[in-house]
Amino acid sequence: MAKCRYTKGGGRDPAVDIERWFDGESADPEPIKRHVAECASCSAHLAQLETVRKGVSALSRHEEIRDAQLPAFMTGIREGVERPVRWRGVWAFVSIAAAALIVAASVLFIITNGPRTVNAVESCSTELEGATVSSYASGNGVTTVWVNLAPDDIP
Amino acid sequence: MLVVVTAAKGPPPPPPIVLSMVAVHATKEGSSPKSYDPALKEVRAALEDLKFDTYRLICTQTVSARHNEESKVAISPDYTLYVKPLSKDPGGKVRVSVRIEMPPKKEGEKPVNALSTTLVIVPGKQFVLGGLELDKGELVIVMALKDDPHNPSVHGSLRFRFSF
Repeated sequence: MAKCRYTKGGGRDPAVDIERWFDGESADPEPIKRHVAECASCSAHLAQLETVRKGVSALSRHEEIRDAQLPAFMTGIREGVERPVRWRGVWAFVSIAAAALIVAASVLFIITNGPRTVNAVESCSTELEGATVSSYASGNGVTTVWVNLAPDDIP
Repeated sequence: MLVVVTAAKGPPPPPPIVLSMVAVHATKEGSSPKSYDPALKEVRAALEDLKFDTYRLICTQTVSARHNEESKVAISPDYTLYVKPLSKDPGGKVRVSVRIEMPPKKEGEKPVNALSTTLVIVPGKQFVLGGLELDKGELVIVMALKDDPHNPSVHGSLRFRFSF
């Protein structure tokens, strides 16, 4: 494509650059408009610019936040950040409940089963005259209840 | 209707308590080292601290006793063992009343409780009752609560090895 003095890079004056005119930024658009109508190179370049603009427009919709909308926009962000997360609380509760359940089950198991220690003697007695009864636990975990007879008490 | 019938019957009675019982004749005969009847292998550890040097098996029995009911085991002509379970906790410990009865010295009198004791016993842990005179020695009884009270194969078996 032949260079034209109005196309980008070829223009002597940036104010008359065709791309500025295309963007609506030209201070004096009429000469450029007439030139584009007569110049095949600029006309082709303009067609390319229009194609690009249409393509970009088709790709996505650009949301703009105007100054008047900004306070409400920021308020929404703050509310989102500061709002308590419900599920976080639920999971914390579930974790604490599970831990409490495990502790309770362990305590219950220890209480009900208990450490398997030794037998315990609650009471012991004899009706044999002069005899006494003693009880003791030996080192091997055996509990003994023993009648100590009087010397002359023979059954 | 079902509720009324159930309530009228009340809770089912707890299963019987099963204890092993080994009666031993312990004597001092000057044996060194100590002499143990081979049949006393299961209770030898419970006898080792005693003052005797010779131990012979009298009889063994597995006693199945219902709660608050006395079960009777005849050990010798002079001694009868009575076992009465009083309660059982969820951990398996059993509170039990045990007594050894002797016949009265005089006819017409009441039998004599030579030894009465109440113990809280742990499954598998042995306890020893002793000190009663028996045929130039003493009677020693080794008992233990069995872990499996529902095994019918062990109930009521009685074996005697010693004659009086």
